[in-house]
Amino acid sequence: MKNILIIEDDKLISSLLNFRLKKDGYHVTTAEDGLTGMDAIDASKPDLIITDVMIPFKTGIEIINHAKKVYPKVPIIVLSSLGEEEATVMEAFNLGVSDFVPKPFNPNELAVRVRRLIQ
Amino acid sequence: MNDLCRRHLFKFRPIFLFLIFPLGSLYAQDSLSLQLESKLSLVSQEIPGLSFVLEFEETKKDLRVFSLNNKSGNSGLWISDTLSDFNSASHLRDTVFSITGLKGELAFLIFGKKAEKEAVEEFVDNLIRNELLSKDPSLQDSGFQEGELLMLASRVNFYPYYKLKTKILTDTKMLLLLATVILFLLASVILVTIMYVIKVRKGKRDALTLKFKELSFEPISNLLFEYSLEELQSFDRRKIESFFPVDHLKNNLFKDVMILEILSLNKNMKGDFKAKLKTIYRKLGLDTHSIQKLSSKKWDVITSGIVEINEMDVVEAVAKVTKFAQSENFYIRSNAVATLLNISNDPELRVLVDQDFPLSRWQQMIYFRIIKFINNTQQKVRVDFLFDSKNESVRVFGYKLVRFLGLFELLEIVNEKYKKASVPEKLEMIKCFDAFSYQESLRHLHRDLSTSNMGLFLGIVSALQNIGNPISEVILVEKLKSDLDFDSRKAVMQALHALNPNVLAECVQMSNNPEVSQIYEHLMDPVLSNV
Repeated sequence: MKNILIIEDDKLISSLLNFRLKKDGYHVTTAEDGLTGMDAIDASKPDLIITDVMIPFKTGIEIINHAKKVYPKVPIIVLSSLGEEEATVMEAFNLGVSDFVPKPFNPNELAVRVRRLIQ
Repeated sequence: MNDLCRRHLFKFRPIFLFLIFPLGSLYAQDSLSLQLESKLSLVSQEIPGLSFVLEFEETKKDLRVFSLNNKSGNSGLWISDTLSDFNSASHLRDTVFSITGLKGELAFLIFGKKAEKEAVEEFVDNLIRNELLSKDPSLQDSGFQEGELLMLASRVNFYPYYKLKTKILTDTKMLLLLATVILFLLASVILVTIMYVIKVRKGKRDALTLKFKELSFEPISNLLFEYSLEELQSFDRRKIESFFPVDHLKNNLFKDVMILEILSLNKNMKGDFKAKLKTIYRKLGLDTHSIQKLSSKKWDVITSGIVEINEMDVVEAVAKVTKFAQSENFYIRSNAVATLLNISNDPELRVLVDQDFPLSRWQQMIYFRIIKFINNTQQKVRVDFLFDSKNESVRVFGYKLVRFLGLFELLEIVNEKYKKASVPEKLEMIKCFDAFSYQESLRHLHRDLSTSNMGLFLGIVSALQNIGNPISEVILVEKLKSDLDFDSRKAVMQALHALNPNVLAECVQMSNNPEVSQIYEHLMDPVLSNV
């Protein structure tokens, strides 16, 4: 079973994604802030990471940096409402993120992207 | 009192002093005599070395019955024998006075020689100081010894002269102090109690909110991912409610939590999920709960109700929200107007046209986003209706919308309105003319160049820089020749430089004003021209 880590401070969105991805047969781990997110990266050995850009204690960029150091080949999807902040998006892509999903988003569409990246 | 009176009084001052001085002297003598007599009566015993003689001046009466002797024959001076006890002497004096009405004088003798009162007083004081005389022998005369008196006193129960209770009740300052302290204590106790109750309630509320959030995650996820929109729409209320904990569905806090969660998801999701969320909201009867909030007396509850109605497109609440469009509360009013713009389906923007309150920049930004959305996705809005509002800020907002929404078809109407417009409106209109390079407005702009309003003048010159024609050049040259302040002169020269640099160069050559030459050099400098 593939392991997916969701780092998102909005509990409702993270539990909704958890529900949706579990439905597709993935094992899902969630973290609500940057620090627990980094610990979860080290502990859970994820096959894919979905992270928000704006989260408590750490920025999404720091999370991506850390994930890329530990697991360079793990695909990362950035989920953020900062769709118009081009600089952040560009920085994330330069660090090697696989996809960027701006909020508001369609969870089914995200599930398709996850499936494609994991395959 | 005038000066003349004062001067007269000043002249008579020595006379007053002369009259007052002997009175003071007499009073002093009397008081000395009284002091001495009271001291002697206190001693009340024979004083060794001190004796008294009573003297009366009387020629007619015979005073021998009082044991007085007429020592000088017919001269009228009656004298008593030498008396060693002061009380006997004073008693004799009082007896003679009460019977004959004659006032006698006591003469003091120290060791047989007549002495003044001051000397006698000093003599008596010396004796008392050296303990040769007892000042107050009354205690020894009462028949009790000091020890006996103390024993007798100890047998008598003690009763305070002032009872404490009575004293406190009659002391106003003490009462005030006590009242203040009691009030302070009461207030602090009440305050602490209220704070504790509020904290406990808030803690309970937070815990319940968290619990309700946890309870709502799964049913909402289930409904969103397991059922299609059509299936959700076909469900009746009971069916939808069966996904949620039935006990909590009547709880207002649970309803509030559900609404918040649905609103949050609605903001973060797109596609048919929005429609699904609205269906769940309606099927659970949460729209009724939102509408009920409009009846609250708390402004924050009303505002949250209006926001929910806006987010969930509760069209049937339009009539109720309309009541709040003219509310004195800024937040209620702003949200009510935004909601009505969004859900009332009124392209004529009546809710804005009829606004009595001036629009703030924040409100204009919010309303602009809604109007832009409606204009681009639903139907064309009638921004021109805003030009006829009685509210100046609404008219100004209307002209802004022309520019921001690119409504160039309204420029003709704006141009017609220009003549009667106020300065703030004109400034916005000029920006419109400038943005669309509307040459038909030049007639108005040229005429208004004679304005005394500096802001309007600079706005017109700035617009002419982009849309001006040869007539504008001539007018600007004339303006440059007139007496202008630095900012206006610089703006005019910039405009002329943009319209026709040759005309500006000619003007500068003909001008004797050094400021004109300096500005020109600045404009011609490729480095400084944009500074």
